[in-house]
Amino acid sequence: MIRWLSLLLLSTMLAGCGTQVTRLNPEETLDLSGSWNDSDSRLVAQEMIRDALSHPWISQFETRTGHSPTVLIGTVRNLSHEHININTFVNDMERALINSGRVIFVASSQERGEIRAERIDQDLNATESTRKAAGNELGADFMLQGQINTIIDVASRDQVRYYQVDLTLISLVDNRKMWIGQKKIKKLVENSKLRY
Amino acid sequence: MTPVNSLRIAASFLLLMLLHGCALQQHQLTGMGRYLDSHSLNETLLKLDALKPEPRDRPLYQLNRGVIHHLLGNYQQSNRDFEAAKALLGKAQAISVTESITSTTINETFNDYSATPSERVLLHVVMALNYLAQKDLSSARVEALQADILMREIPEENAQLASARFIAGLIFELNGEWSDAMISYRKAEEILTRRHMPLPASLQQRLLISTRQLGLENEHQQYLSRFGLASGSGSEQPHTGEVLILFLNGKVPSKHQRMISIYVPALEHHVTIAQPYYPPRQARNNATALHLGSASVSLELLEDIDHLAREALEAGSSKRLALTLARATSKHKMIKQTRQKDPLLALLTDLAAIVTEVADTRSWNLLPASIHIGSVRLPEGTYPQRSPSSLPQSMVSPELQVKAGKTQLLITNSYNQSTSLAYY
Repeated sequence: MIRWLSLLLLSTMLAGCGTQVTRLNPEETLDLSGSWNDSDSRLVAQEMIRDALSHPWISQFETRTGHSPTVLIGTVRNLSHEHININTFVNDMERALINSGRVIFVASSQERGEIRAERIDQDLNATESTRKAAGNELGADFMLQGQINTIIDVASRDQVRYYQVDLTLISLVDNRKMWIGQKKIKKLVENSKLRY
Repeated sequence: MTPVNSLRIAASFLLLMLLHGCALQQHQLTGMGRYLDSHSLNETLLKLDALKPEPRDRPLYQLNRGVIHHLLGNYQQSNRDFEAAKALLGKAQAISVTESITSTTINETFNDYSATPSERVLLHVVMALNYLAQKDLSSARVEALQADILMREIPEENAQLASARFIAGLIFELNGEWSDAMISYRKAEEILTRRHMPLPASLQQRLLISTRQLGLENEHQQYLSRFGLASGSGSEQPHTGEVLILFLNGKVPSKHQRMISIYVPALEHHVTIAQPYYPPRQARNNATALHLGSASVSLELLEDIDHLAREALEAGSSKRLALTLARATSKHKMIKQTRQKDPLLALLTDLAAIVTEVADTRSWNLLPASIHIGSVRLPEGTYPQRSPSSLPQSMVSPELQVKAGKTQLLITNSYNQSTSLAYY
């Protein structure tokens, strides 16, 4: 009995020793809990924007107007069962769109508020030559909206997590839906039934 | 005495002291409930912060810290604590090899605190309230969905909470998702009916509104007839806004320990074992009404958390008793064997058996004892607020501004009347 308890005590003390930090490449995919993570956000954003840019709406727009389309990101709603940082997903999408060079991007409604306040401030305080006048903003041609949904199937400690990301590009002129993109991710999360 | 024996005795004594220390640590955390009875929320928080819980008690520490921050209105910090508790409780659900050994040889207080089914669901309920109070409907919705997954994962009745279903329904409703809202309200109604609890008028109204929104005329008529209401009940009157009150009342009791003497045929004598229990229910100062100007809003029982805590303890009683008896029997057999070889060592082992016979009295004991709801439609305007009748009248309540066509969500509790108000 005592031998047992001594062994148990010793192993418990050893188990608590040390903290280890390993630096990782941000591009590396590392799944720990099975929840939506940075890799999901980045890969979904890249793939969906690639899909959006490969469809004819851009060339049709360019032929009709003679310039690249101006896009604005609207609301991307999190309707999933996880606390997903939508901002990182939206930023990933913005980056993928801007870097494509095919579209012009304008600030979102939240960002515009701060910029407009700065313009008002400049109107009062900046010199004539450096002052930026109001009324020169580039109006968007399209708005990108979307949502992230999940379906969870649970059995005991295991889960199948199905994520569906839907994005829609809507023309601001006539509300026409120019492109609908969908990306699905399915994960089997097997939680250990035993632990130390 | 040989040197080997002396070493054994010294090791046994050291172990005895360590085990005793572990039992004391448990008392510090379980004592927080009683501490709150005679101290303010801020004092209780300071006391809790001064504790250095063992890793196994960490989930309980975070849960209690989270609920105090909620009651104080520190919703962001509350959710940070609850997120930490959620992660720890997730890990604690797997069966631990070492815990299985310690619980069969020493006692259950060495196990990681894994929470009762109802406590695990209530964690999401309070988190959802925190997000609602911060007007973060999207995050509140996430908590409602997580509570739903948990209630599907744990089939026990103790995990089926009407409050979780009602709050999920409310979140879906505020989000304009009437179909999901209807399903959640229906489930809340089913749970309350199974538990033989009266349906609060707020739930009745929401069932009527949801069925009308979805065009479920037959179901709407059935509800009208069942609730004894006239056609047109629950209709929205022009220039009025709804005030919906969620009131967290009191505090669940803390578990105590009692020693029971049981005859064990295998040993041919009685053994004394420790078992946790809740003291008998006492009549509580149930909040009955909240006054808004001249209007009185009746606060009706939605969740009896005190009952859920007792139910969870009762559900595990047979398993716990069997485990404790098996442990006591093996301890006594070992003492008998040691007595023949080394009387001094037998005495120490006997002492160890007595010291380690401790019941696991841990529970989330700063949870409210009950959740109440009430709602009223009022013309647009500003209303002075008066405390529920059970609260000290010295508490100052903020004025309530009612906006037409909006739902004013008032989240309040019996400890702190500086309520949170969110407009939707």
